Amino acid sequence: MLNWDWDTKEKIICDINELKEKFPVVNEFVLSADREKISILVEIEYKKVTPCINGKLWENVFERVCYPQFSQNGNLICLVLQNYEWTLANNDSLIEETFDYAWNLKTDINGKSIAFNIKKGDSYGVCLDGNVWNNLFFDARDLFLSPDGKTAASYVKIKNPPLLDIFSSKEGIWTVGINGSTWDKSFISVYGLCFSPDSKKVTATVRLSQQEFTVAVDGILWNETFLNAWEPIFINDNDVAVAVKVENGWTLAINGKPLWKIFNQLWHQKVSPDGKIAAVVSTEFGKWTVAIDGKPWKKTFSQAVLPPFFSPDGKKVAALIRENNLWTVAIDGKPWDIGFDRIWSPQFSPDGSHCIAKAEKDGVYFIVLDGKIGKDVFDMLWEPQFSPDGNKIVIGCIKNGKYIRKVLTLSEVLR
Amino acid sequence: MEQFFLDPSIYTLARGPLVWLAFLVFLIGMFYRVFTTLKMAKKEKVIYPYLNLKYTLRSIFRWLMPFGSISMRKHPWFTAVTFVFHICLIATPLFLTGHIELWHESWRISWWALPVSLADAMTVIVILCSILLIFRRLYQQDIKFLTSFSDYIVIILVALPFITGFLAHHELLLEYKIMLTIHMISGEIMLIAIPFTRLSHMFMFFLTRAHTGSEFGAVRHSRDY
Amino acid sequence: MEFKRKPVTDIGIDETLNRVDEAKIKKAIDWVLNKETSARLKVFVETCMRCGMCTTSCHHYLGHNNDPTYAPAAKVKQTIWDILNKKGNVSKEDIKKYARITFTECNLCRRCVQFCPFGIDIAYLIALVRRMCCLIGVVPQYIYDQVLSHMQTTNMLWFRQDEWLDTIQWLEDELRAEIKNGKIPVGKKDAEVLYLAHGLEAKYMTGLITNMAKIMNVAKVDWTLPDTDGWDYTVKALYAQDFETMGKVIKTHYETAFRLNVKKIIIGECGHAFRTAVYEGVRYLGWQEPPIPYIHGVQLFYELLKEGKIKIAKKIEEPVTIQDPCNIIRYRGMGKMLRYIVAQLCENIVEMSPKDDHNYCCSAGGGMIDSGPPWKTARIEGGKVKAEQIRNTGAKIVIAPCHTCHKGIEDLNIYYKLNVHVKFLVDIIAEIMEIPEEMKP
Repeated sequence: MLNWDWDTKEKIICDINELKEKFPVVNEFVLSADREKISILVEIEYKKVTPCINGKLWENVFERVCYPQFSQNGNLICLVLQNYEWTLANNDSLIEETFDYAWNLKTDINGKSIAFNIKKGDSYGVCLDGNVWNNLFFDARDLFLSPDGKTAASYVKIKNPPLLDIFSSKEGIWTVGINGSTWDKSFISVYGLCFSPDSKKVTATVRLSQQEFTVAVDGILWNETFLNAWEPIFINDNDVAVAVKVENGWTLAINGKPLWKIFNQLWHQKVSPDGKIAAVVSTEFGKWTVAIDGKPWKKTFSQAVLPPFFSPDGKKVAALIRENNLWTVAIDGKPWDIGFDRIWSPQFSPDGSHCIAKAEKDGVYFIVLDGKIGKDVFDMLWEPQFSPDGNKIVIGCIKNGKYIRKVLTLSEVLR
Repeated sequence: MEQFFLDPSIYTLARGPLVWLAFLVFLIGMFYRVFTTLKMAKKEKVIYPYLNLKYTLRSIFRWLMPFGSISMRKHPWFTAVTFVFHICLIATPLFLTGHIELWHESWRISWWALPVSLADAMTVIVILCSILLIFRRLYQQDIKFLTSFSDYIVIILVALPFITGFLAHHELLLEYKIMLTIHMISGEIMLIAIPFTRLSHMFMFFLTRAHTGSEFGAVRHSRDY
Repeated sequence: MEFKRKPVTDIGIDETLNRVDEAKIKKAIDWVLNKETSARLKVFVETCMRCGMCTTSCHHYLGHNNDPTYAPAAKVKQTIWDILNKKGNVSKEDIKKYARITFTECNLCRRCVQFCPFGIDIAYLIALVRRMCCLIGVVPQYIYDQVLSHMQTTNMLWFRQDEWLDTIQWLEDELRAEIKNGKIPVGKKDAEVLYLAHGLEAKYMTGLITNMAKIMNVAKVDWTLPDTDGWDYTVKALYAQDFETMGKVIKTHYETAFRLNVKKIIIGECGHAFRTAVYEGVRYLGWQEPPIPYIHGVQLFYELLKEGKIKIAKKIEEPVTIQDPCNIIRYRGMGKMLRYIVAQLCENIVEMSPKDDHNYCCSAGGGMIDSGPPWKTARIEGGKVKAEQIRNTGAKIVIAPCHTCHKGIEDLNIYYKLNVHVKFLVDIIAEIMEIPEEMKP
């Protein structure tokens, strides 16, 4: 269970230096959402690996541990290799089924469902909540879990032409596998799989030929095809938006109809809680910015603009940008006036008035609040998170070899 | 110009109105060619953002300097011939006493002129180089393969004003005035042809070198010469 | 002189042509001429004076006994000029000829561009014709198979995701035999460096990954490999001029780097991938320059040696020579860095002539080796110049910091009996560098 403690100022949770003295290999640090737990993989000796949570080792040991992560209910889950077979470990207990390989471990936002890609013999598929798909395939790539956790999807290969049989491959050998069944049609390429918010629909971009791309929703193709297309998203339970290439550039198409003006490039469209769409656009060659409902910010950036995101109320839009070899955050078109070697995706306070991020310069980590650098520096820092009232933040950090959970008021960040 | 109206003849036509026409077509045509090229280059998106003055100049300098590039050093004879050819081709008409007199007559401007004997020699050089270039096209296998009929026409277009100029000057073959008329008309045809044939390379050279020079120097950090 | 070639069958070209109609051919050509080209095509075609200065710059011309049909401008004449003269109304036989010339008789090395008085970008013109062929679907079978793999898997050889992960895991086990507690991190968030591998390294040349891991461990670089598709840096779509696939692959590489929050991407010794990732790919996507630094193996080794992060225990004494891969030397000016590295590793360096950015192509690049067995003879014949260059140095080792050069020269070595060993920098460094006592198992 998670424990959102917003009162205790500082908790020293784990002495990492101590672990480093005890074990020859100590790595892969992951935190629970509430920052109360840290899992570290320790190698007791060669081929004897186990997670160590807040300093306490699991009883099981494994040859390998992969994808360690805390689910939303606070349990550590990971895919493990034991006696040359892969399986899922959840909170130090293993599921019965074993696999020739297992990867891409995912949980849903409630932490109830767990899914991963699996290989059994020469067949590929997905294991969702301990149940392997009834149908397995020649290949399964990437894993997508519906918001309600009840449906898992993967790109699957349904025909297996011999190597170099280009004509069969060109007819389409890939499709979407959903809970073991597939779409009727197969494609040269299928990508950008996305579930609708109500978990009922699935969309993906499909490639029909060299220059014919379109979007499929539950396996049914749009009538329109485009010269190229990136990954689609659901903007509500029914409508799909995707960046498409038309004759003179890129635009945003909704349900097959191009709507926005033409840009030099357009991708990473996101939808706000109140239905606005923001996307990264290149207004002209080498100039990047964010456009909201088709209207770009005035200021453009030369090196990179990462996917935009909205404040919880949908009023503000922010994106990470890179200019003059430094990263920073731009909110509503205005970049912070300091740049960093690296910056991580920031978080808006619940009312959208503040924005906080983790950043790095010259190998040290610090917090940045509204474009101002926090006083404290850390050997390692995880992304900070606002309290529900927006007055405090919680961070997990490593200082002097110890993992510490801290709660800070906004004024304490800058001090 | 007035001469033509006073005494309309092919000679005065070629000496007056046609000269103006030729210069106009040449200048406007070339301006139009360069302008449309620059406009089209914008459509390509990836030309202008990479242009770099330093490397454009480096590139042009290297290729206007005799033996400034590895390519020229590998082809010493051809390089020598083309440089002499181009220098004589441009300098002779510009600095010819007879031509300057015409400028003076119309515009009251004049400048330094080549000694007549030197100009004469340079004319012969252009003619000889043209013959060499034609022979090269006829007998060097790789160039023969590339050459089409129009390539000979272009050389002849260029050589003709020099041949006729030479003949007129020495009053050979035809009567002076007739040869001079042919000389003027051939010169005018050449000028008019520049914007519409491969001869436009005299301007396009600077554009292509700007692009390639910038790509090699500023983007790829290597040499285009 | 006429275009005379021994017949070669490639189903990617011949069989595809059996399946398409003239309308599709015309459509593809018109598309490229009207929608994808503008000033460059027009000016390059109209400015070429047919002077022949480019002729002897081309190793295919020299390697085929000065056959004029192999000269750079001749290849342009027989393809794009021909298409323009015919106003796009070309036959299937024409397309077959264009495909043969552009895919298997030109490496897009751009040496001829350095020899053209006008700087006409001949490789660009040749690539345009490849693009037309690609839109028709006419691409050598071996290239097309790899491109089809890229389209879905991002990697070039239909590698499954578990195969990649499993490979890295057992390579880490192997690394442990040489480096105490050595790690090959996969999907490690916030690492400084994202390292991408060559598709072939994951399947057939795994030693290269282990050796790179050895160097990264000794130099204490904070690195990671991707745990997702996008681990393979190759982009064979470049060879086919399949921009759609190329764009998707390059986008995947950069987005993988953004997702893992790394500072830069490093790749190993490969030419075309570097070129695509810093030029063709990023330009297609709309970036003027790579959005984050994209570092080649040569740059990496230069920095590690210069900063003393790796030290060399014993230099190689046998005579070595250096192959300058077009895509990182003529295309990126890394010649000096490469020579600095080799001077740190070897006692006795004998340079080829010409060298550095004027070096001849290995005759394997630009898709020629990827065109596969049907076109091997074309490549070997074109490599005659390179073989002579190597033979003249008397070197016993050829250092070729590019997968394509490496394999191409290995083939030349056998055919022309050069008696050399072709080596990657990573293999030499891993072999002769100092391993600190505490890192020995």
